[in-house]
Amino acid sequence: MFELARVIIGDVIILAGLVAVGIGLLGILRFRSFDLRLLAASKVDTVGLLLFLVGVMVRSGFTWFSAKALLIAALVVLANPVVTAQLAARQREDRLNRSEPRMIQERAESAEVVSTGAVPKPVEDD
Amino acid sequence: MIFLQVVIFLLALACLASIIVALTGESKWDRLLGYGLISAKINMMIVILAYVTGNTFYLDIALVYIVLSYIGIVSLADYFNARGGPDRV
Repeated sequence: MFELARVIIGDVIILAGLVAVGIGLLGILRFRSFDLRLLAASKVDTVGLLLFLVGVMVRSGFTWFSAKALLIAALVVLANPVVTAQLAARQREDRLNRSEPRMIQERAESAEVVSTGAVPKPVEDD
Repeated sequence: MIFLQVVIFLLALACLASIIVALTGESKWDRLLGYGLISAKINMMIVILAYVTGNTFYLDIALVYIVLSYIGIVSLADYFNARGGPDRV
């Protein structure tokens, strides 16, 4: 009786993960901007992986299998947002370098002033 | 068990859609995103297969593949910014 309930709940969670993956694919194919596609892809893939892992954990109960799946879930929760942030930041830097290269240089200079306290010499106009 | 086999089949279809996203992306960042999608779907398939076959060591494979794909995506993104990358297919 208890086994049947566990199997059914695990199946429902796995089905939810599959629905999340489907919704994410629909969003990626329909959005037109890279930032929105990245947002949809990262969120949905993280949630999908976590739901699959939790569903498999519920289905198999208290075993070493569940402990390993929990470890993988912890790694995914910690590392997936970092990768998304890196991708978004680097794409933004690439895009700004192509269209507004002066802005990146000014930001770098102002960061130098803040961190070292040295003021750059003003350019002399002859 | 039939439910899990259907799940694996649907995940394979989703992986095919991710391959299409990776091949027909407009910019290099879109194709890099496609690679991340493919990797995530394959990880999900490995987890389900680990339960279906009953072998616990398949989860170690999934763990290693997740870590390697993360490292690959971040290093490729850094390379695209530092040295440029393939702008056209």
